[in-house]
Amino acid sequence: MTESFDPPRAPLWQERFASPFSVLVRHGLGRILHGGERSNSGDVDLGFGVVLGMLALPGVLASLFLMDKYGSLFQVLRGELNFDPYAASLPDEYFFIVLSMVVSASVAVWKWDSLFPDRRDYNNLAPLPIGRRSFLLANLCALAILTVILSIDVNAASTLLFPAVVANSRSSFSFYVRFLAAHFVCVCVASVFGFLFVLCVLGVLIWILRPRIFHRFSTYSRFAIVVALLALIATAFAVSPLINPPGLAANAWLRWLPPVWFVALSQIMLGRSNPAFISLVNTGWIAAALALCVALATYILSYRRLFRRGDESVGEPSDERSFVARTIFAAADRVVLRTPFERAGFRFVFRTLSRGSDQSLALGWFVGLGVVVASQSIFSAAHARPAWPPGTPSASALAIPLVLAYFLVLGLRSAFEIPINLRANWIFRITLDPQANECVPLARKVMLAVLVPPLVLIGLPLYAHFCGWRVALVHVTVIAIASALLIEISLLRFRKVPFTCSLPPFKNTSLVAILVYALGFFAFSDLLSTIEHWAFIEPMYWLLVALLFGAVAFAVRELRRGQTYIDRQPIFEDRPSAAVESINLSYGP
Amino acid sequence: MSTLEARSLSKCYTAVPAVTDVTFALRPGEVLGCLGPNGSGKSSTVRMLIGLSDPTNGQVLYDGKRIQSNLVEYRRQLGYVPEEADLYPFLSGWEYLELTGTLRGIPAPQLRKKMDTMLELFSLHSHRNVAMSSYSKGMRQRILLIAALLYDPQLLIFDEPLSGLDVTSALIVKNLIRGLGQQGKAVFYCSHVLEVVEKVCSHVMILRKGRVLAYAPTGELQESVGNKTLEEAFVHLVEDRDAESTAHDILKVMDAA
Repeated sequence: MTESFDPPRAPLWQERFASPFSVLVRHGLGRILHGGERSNSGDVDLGFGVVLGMLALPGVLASLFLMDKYGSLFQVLRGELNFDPYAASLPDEYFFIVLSMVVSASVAVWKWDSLFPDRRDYNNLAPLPIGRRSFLLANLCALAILTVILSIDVNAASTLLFPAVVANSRSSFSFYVRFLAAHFVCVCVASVFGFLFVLCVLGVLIWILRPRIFHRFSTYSRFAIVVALLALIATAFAVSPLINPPGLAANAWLRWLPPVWFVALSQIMLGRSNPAFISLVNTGWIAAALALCVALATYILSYRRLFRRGDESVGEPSDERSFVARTIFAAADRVVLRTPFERAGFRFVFRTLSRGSDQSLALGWFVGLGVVVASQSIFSAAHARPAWPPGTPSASALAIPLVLAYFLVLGLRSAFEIPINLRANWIFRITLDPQANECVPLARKVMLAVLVPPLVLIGLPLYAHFCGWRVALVHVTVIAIASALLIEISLLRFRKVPFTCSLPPFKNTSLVAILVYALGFFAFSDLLSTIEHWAFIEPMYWLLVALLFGAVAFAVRELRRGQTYIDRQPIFEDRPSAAVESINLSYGP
Repeated sequence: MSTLEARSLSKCYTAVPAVTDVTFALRPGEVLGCLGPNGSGKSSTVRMLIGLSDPTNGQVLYDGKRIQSNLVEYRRQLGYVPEEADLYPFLSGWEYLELTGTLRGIPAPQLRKKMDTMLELFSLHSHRNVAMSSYSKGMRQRILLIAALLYDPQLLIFDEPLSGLDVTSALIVKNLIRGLGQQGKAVFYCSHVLEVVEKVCSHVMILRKGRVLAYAPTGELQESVGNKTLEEAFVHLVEDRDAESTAHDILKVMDAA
């Protein structure tokens, strides 16, 4: 007689965790984290732990940087005997709120394509015996869980460290607890608001635009959000001194800055209430409630829309290919693109830049940063009091296009490293001539094609309008030469078809490279614009400019000549260097 | 006349042999069908034939020369349809063909004309400007076929070209492959569909566990196993388990559930 064997029952919590609904919630979370239908997450996919660590890092660093400001010994050394931690911490609180909003909103922008269910979800889940309501609720739960995890992760370090740093100046545990509670609530609300705001924009766009137009529009929208977020960070220390009743009365626009609402909330929680802060907090609550309602409504509406059009097997037929794009490509074929590879690669690179979500987002971050930094130069140029001959532009005015060019070149160079659908690169593998070394010319021409037209079509007339044609022509020439040299430097070790090679591994030299790029920025924009400004006043300085350019060009040429045959071979996989490698002497030109 | 030759090809992935001592010759006008169960080394062989991976031992010769000696020139003669339709999903069908055609060096006016005609013939013209992310598997497969045929290659390597195609398109491709052979092109054709191989291929090579089990003209192979169909010959040579009883076992497992 065989004995029947009943497996032991799993605990109740395990059964709940394995219920179809919780599986759906986990699936929803995984889908958001690892990318949706249009994303190429298979190529750029970091682990969840790594992502959480990276998101928490800014809060840790910012808190540690503030140590010396609140340390009692440092205060004594600085002679600050009547130190008021409340007043002193307000700008820092504002900065933490901005940081929290920016990081959360950036995650939403990064995961833009996977926040809402898409056709892949429809194809995989619609045939299963799952109610549509369960699917919707599970996705909403996943989003809510992600928002909570995100806001806690982004702010956990600053919540523990920042109040501890501030409480340094006042040895009171109750002060620490009160400060911690106020800080935690405000940064978390700000973080949730930042995430919801992006979700609202996305939901409204999905709802009001047709799918094809939406995909084109979403790139611009993400870029606009990135610029807004960078502007928030860049202006954080300029805005915070104005957050007091007189400042708020004099600057009515501050009322519409979301971080100001949440800093007012923190002040009220710390017992520093006043009518201006109460009014700001009320506005903040209304805005947060509105963001939540709009996000929920658009999520439900877009979900209905997905299931209504989910069975379409083929996307909407589009119009004929753009006449402008065709004309530009045809002109480029005749004028600058020499080989079949360059002609094909040029189109491929531009199409990837405009349609690849990770690539366009990376470029958007750099250009956005460039726009924010350049806007500060515009601000300085507008408020500069000229102490030099009329018609001579200030160094700040000259730096504007240099700043933009620097970030554009760096942005393109970084975007080229981000692969798109690596498995599809076989077409380049089987058609590229490894000995022709065509990757650098292609990348160079793409960069110049992005840089030169705006310089000539926008920069030249603008400088001619403000400073005259002579200055405009000279300045545009200087920018063109400087940018060409910058492009050469950035492509020194480049040997890939853009977007077709796996992501480079983190190298020991990566931190040095970041430092070099930061220093390069000052040399390229500040130093060069200052020397150019002097040269407009005293023409002898043009010799210095020419010498500088000549030295850089010579160095680039020498470095390129020193490269071996292997250094120029195109690669499709960027592996870390092996400890032992065969020289393969039989293989070569 | 250009001949593709594989001489004692072997490929090992970290000591695991995927292909062992594969030898064959593909002459112009021949259509060589490559058959084998999953994991028999067909894809590894194809990758070596294209030059995407180097053999661990042996060599691939085209026109008597090692393909690695001038891979670019060899690939100019080669049309390839991969097993998986890995394409750039953000490009439209038209843009993808433009990319491959331009990379192949076809002059733009000629390329546009060919693309238009081919898209029309493969019933994709109305979808030519739609992103390939929304294409069905069959549509993507047709794009790959067009990309391989755009520039009149002398050697064609098809890895499961009928995968996902509808009946009409599959019929067109079958006739096309036969026609390519009659035109004097050399065609290497990997497939699991034995009826098609039987009808289309002049020669058959059967792989099992990375080794050539049989390599002969299709008729000869069938004769050698007693004038059976190719499917019966394949089962006779390759399968070490009874398909009918396996299906029966599966049904029993389903019943038990």
